Amino acid sequence: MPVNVVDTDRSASRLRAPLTAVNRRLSTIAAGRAWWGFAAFLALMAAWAIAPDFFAPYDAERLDPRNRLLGPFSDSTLGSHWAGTDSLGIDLFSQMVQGARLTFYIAIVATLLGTGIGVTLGMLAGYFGGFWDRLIMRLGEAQTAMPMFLVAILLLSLLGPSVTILIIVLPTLVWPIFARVVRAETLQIKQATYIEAAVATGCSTPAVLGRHVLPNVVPRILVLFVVEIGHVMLAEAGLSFLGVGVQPPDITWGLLIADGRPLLTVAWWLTILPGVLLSITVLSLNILSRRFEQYAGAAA
Amino acid sequence: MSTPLLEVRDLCVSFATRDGVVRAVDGLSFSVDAGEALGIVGESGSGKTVSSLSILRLFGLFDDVTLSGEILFEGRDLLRISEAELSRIRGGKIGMVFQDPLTSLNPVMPVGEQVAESIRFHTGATRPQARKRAIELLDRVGIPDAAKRCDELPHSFSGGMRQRVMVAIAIACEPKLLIADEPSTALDVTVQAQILLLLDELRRELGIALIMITHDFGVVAATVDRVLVMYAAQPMEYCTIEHLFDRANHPYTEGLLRLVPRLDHRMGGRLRPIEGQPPALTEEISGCPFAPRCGLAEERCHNDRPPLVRLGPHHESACWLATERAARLTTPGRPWETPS
Repeated sequence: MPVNVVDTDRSASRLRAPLTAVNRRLSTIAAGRAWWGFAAFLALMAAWAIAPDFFAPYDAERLDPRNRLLGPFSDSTLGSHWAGTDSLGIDLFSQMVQGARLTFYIAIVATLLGTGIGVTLGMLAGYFGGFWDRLIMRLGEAQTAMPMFLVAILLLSLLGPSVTILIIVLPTLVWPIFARVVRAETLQIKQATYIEAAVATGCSTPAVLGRHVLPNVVPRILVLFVVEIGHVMLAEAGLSFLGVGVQPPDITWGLLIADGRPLLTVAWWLTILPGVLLSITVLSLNILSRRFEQYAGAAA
Repeated sequence: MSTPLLEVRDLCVSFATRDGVVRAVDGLSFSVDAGEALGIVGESGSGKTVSSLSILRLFGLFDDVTLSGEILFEGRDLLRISEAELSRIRGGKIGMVFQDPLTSLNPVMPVGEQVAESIRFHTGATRPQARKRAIELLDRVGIPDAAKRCDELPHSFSGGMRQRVMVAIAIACEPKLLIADEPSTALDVTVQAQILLLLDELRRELGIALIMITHDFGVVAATVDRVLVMYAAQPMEYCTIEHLFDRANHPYTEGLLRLVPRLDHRMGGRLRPIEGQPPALTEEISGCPFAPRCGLAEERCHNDRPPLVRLGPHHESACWLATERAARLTTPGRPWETPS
């Protein structure tokens, strides 16, 4: 069975990270004990997203013109604002807590959609080969070759920015990666005797794919899924930053960064703090995904 | 005479590869009656596995396979029925056991589930029913503490135990025919014997017909009634097990039997391998495929393909010299002791 050389490149992190030194460093961190810290951070972010009102000290919609652009660790008549306030006097920390929900919601739902599409197409391409394989993989390559970010901007400007459109557009960024990885895995799995044995016990093709191929690619999908949430989150932030993503009064971290940009010279915290939050979140997802990968690799 | 359970007529299987067309099976015919055991013997690449795979059309991965001939099972031609009909026969009426038990089970599915899966496909049993039956089956094939172990993944089973699970899957729906493709090759000798014994027991108990594919005459002797010897994709000899050991007719069969080490041979005796190599299957073979290696080959052996000569009710040999040799060997004697 001829196997395409490109298919041996199975690691998604290898596909995505040309910075080998950073890559190695991250893997080392993930292999050590520090990953607990990143996991705990993500758990906190998840808690913010689930119960923002519990964590946010102030109302994120209440204006307070007297206390505009207070720096970090300053106090107002309401109390302390450790992350400062924005140009309308709203507590930045409360906004960041409130923004977690939509940020995670968009990233997770869009990645789930992308995973569904990518896994299905990748499995079909790998299992059936031939025409379908070529069609699906060329489609994925075409999509990868196109600056999808620009396409997303175009679509969002044409259709008007909304969370729904964003969730429809974002999966197009990630499905080719899932398709490629799952296809490569499927090519390998379909040659296993247990697949032949499954056919010999009367399994129909959908049953073979769903019950025998899919469970064997799940670990790899999971690893990729976690890291792709980070990528989608960054893409959403980018689109929101450019004004074609989430619109006020909704809050996401990307939008907070965008709102702070005109005031960067006078109120750096409005841009930097949500940016740091976003960066640590994406980094944590990356570390966690590496941890999964190492764990799955050790188990196999 | 009643119609046999499975009748293969003039089966030809070829694959289109980069090096040309490979004829993996060339003009194979045999039949298996209900409850009977047939052995297909041959060396690697002789087409024995391919012929067993073609019965269930398990060529999912090869797009470029060409099949011709007829495979009649209960009166239906398996080569011409739809994939949907065939998948009801696979595992339902024909079970299959594969060579390597280490790779034949899905590593991420509990073994009980894998047995139950087949039952659910073919009988429409509910999950609990199928599970109960799967435990019975695992118990029957000799998995100790089956009720507990059925929830474990294949990696916690030894090779022999996994092969027992494979047997349980194969017999789960009480098939009429069981195809065992070198079921004991990958196992230790003691475990081999256990698996063969198990297959033999089950066959007698459930009245299943068996096709045993092997390169081991010991396996054949222990389990089957009739034997088909294959060489270079073609059938060489077809006979009962008694005939095989007592009056093997074809020079190739004789050569193979001479290679079986025997306890009653004097020490220091040498096994004489058959000179030469089997022909490449990409080449067109005009005469007898064994002729270049055969000590008795004549002119016609090289030029014309010998017919299958009928030597008795259950004995056929594809050799130009078959009748002659049969006459010589009618006196009981052991072919491997005749000087050559």
